[in-house]
Amino acid sequence: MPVGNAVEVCQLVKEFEYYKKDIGMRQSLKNLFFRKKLVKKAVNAVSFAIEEGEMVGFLGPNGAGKTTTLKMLSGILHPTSGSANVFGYTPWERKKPFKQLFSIVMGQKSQLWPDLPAGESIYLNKCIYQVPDEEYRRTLDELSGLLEVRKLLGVQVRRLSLGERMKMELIASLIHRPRLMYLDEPTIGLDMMSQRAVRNFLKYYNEQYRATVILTSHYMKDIEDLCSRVILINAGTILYDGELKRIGTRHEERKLIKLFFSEEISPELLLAFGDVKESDGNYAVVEVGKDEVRLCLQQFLDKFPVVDFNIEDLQIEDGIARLYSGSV
Amino acid sequence: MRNNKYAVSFRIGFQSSLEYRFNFFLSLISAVFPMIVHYYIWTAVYASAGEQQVFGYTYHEMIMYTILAAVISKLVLTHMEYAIAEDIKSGGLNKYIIQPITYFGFRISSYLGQRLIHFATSLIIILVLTFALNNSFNLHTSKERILVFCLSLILSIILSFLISYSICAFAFWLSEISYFFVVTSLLIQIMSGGMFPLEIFGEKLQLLFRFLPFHYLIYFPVNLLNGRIDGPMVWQGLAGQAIWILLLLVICRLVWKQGMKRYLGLGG
Repeated sequence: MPVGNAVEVCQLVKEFEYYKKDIGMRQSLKNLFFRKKLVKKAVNAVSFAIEEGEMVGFLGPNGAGKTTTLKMLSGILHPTSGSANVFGYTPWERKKPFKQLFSIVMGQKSQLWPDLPAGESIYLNKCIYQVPDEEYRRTLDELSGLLEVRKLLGVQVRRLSLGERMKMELIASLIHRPRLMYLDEPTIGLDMMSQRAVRNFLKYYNEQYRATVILTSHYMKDIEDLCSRVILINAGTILYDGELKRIGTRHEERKLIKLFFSEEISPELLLAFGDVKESDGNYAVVEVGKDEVRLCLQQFLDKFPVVDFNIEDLQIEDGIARLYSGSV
Repeated sequence: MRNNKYAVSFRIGFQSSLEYRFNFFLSLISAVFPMIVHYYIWTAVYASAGEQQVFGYTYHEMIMYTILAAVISKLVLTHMEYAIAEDIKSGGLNKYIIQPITYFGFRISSYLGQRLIHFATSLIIILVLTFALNNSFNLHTSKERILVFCLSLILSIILSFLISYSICAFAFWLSEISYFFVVTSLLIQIMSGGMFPLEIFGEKLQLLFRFLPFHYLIYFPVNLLNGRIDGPMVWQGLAGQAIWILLLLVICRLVWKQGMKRYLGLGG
């Protein structure tokens, strides 16, 4: 393992068995006696490496294999084949020193006791990870101060708002100062202010402690703000691994022309020029090659009653969507 | 010691149970109704039988048995199958797989913590009832007997936890499990003597029950208290409880190991 790599994954495969069930009464009855076993490759020969201190975004549609990969990297699941090396440990051997150096936060699953103040669950984690008293006090003070929840440590978890609860989850999972964090949709369902607070906190924590972070989220803002590098995964395979910016530049050759007309123009007339992304009578968006922008625009102005126009770059989401659809 | 993770799990279990104290008192009150039903049934049975003894129990012994068995079954039977099965089904186990704490250790310490008030209150009720029944029926329960009873009760609680814990492992294989637990808990209640003394089931079934661990949960401690089990039988019974505890520890380990293999996706 080269110096500096926190996580190395090589040809990781996870297969799940499941049963096929067709719709209909007859099929249901048939299923009682005879079930066809099928195998689904949730993760298919995934390889990547993450440097210590890096913050990497894990992107992909629902069911792409993100959570399955995170589960294997934290030792919750055994892979069907392949290997992984996390700070020199194989995660699914679940050695105690390995457990000490990472933590996982799932936005959809709480690890706090709902009936007790969050402070109690945090204290339980302190004891589980055997954090010395002095260090525990310092960490708790710092983290709760940063997240502005110091006064809420004594409040029952089920009386906290979703945003406050998420902040408590973060404190509970960071109380042993892990060097590696897996964050599975940590901002799901949070309001804008809480999302921003969580983002700022993660950024600070990553910079301050050189903690390695793997983050999955469906909010592009999370990824854009936090991760310079992304790994794009769909249907169990990696589609893209590299700088977030370059997903955009790959498609920098393409531009969007937004057109406003003084009368209704049918979209068929625009098809000859490029991809019509949107069209609504007086308004249309056409995607064209970068080199063709000048030419197309001239022709638009000549042929149609154009009132106003805009030339824009493609959104990162568009680039990602293109990668997804290209893979299926 | 104060910072031990299992000691803290115990304390946290205890604290969270305080949230449900009303629930607990309701469950105690709910134990009264079957007692009343049993009282009338047995009074009628003895009146119509016209005999001194039914199934080898005098009227007073039978009433004492059913009342004590009702309270002790409240105390001993765990009803934690659903919580553990939920952890298995919904991925709550993950937390314990990735943290340096064992699920078994966490469960037993938080369980004991959660039930601490329950245990204490039930024990007081049992002692008061014994005293009251002694007085009204002119029976005598000696101090040594109460001590031995307490000892066997502790073993029953541990045994009962282990039985539940092994049964929970079925959740690794069965996807729909709630009715399974309804059946098992009913069977355990019957086979442990929580409803009637086991003599009712006749010699053959009773012999079968003797080879199962369940009668050690309720039948044995109740009969210790009311004095039907005496002399060397007392120590034999306590030894039986201890042996079953050891056996079930092994069984728990084996079934959970297999279950975890399945959970972790190791095949099986």
